[in-house]
Amino acid sequence: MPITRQPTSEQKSKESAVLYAAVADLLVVIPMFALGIATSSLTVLSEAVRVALMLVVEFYSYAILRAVHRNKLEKFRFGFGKLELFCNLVIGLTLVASGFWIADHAVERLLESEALATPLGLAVAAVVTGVNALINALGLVAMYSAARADDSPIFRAQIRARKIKLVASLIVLTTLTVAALASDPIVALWLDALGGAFVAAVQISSGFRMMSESVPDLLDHPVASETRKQVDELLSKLQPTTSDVRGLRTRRAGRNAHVELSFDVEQHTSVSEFCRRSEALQAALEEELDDIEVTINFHTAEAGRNAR
Amino acid sequence: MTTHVAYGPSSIAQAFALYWPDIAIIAILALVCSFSGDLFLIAVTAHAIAMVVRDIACLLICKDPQSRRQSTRYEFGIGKLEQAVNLAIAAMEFLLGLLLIHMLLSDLDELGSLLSPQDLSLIALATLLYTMRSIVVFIDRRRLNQILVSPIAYAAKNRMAMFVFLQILVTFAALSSNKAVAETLLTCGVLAVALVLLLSAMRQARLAVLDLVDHPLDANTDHQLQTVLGRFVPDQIVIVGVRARRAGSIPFVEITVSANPHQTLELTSHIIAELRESVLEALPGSDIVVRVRS
Repeated sequence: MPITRQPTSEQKSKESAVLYAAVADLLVVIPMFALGIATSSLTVLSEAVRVALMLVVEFYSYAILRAVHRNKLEKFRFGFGKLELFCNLVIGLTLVASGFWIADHAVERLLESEALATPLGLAVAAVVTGVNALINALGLVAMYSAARADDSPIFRAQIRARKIKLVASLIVLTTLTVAALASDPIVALWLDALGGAFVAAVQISSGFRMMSESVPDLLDHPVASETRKQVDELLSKLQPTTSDVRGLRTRRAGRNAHVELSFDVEQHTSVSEFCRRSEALQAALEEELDDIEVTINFHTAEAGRNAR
Repeated sequence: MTTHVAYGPSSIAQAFALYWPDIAIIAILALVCSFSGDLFLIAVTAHAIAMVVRDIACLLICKDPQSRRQSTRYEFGIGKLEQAVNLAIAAMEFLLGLLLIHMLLSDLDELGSLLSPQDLSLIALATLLYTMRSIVVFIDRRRLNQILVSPIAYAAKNRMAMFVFLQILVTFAALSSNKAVAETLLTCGVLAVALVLLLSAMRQARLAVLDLVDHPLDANTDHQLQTVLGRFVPDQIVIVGVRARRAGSIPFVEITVSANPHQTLELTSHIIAELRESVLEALPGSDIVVRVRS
């Protein structure tokens, strides 16, 4: 049974920064949806869908961050990197699907030349998007003030995501403001559709990126060739102190890499000698490569495959 | 338990050779579907397609156990790839199930009302083709077990039961003189297919997701493993840690043992070999790694 622990005050401040930003997003996404439906503005609707999906990522990241700080994911003895990746995969799929849905509607609206959004509606939508942009800016400032050099990848990813959100909301804000000010309904329609298409493109590209990053790791894909090369170089450098490498296999699990090594050893080698060598090798590998987990086994000449 | 796989053909030609009768019957069903537009027949065809896609995907991806372990690209085997395919097929089945329910709800008023007794008879005959095929597969399952992937042959019984049930419904609907009864029977058939697809998709997706996220072994398997390790008490080593995960049909077990520092690796390796044998008895085909600490 895993033993839970209390988070430190610094960890709590990080959790608060992520939570407040997520709650602020939640408060703004509800009026965005209402406005999107009321004004039929594609830009507002698509931005609302995007914000809602990213909100899922935020709450999920918050839950993971809390669980990590309280040691609640000990059940996953091989780490919870795959769990994170699977959530990313699902969110990526949702982003791609909703992106295509919005793009389909934008094209349909343009082909029909159907301007449903009124200038007043677009103006109100621009105000709400402005509030969203402000929340994104404040959230980013709060996260920067809580950031430290040794922050967890989850927190760093949150800062990155917040930056992208800020840029996207500023572009949407500009499009909506110009559309609201345009006197020609066709120009307003085109700007609204362009805003929607921009958000759709952002959704599709980030969705595909999330999926392409998640799938190989979920399938136990070996580490990148550069990492593999580093491991090989390190092994050859340490060769005099280690025995012959009989097997090496690797797999990725999110930010963690699992490396499994097996060596040929002499039968008369003592356990303490083997442990001393393997610990030295393990330390050297872990020092050279970040977030790596090394497992070392042995083979004796007579017994053949023993530990592995 | 996840899908257990024995041997399977590795080429599309071999899969086609095994499944051409199914493909031919599905083509006939689809043709009748396109003319009649009957939801019951659509449901039967969708179910048959889902089954064949699952079987063929399983056959194409599964090699013999040795090559599945020693994939050149995936050093830890292709178990996760198998589960990713299972997950994709489960998603397809789930969407098919939802689509059928959506169609059922939107066509509820019209279902069966456009069909004449002749149409119903034709649908019953078309469905009979696939029912006969599933009965043949069930009867021949022992022989198929040797060439097909074992879960496919194992599932033959459930599949046959499902298609016989659907055949009974459509036959009664065709024979019934009361249109309302015929309509109710067909609705029940569509609903049954949709539910089977949804349930099977959820079950399959759950297993696939657990494997993909490196979830620990299920309670029963873990209990078996703990029992075996609990019985293994040699003087020379102490088991200090165990962690396990599953990738498709392969359980991965990592055991950390503490050994006497002055002991030689020769003796340690003999004890570890015994430990491996014990674990393999409880979890056949598992990939076992033993870490030694002093």
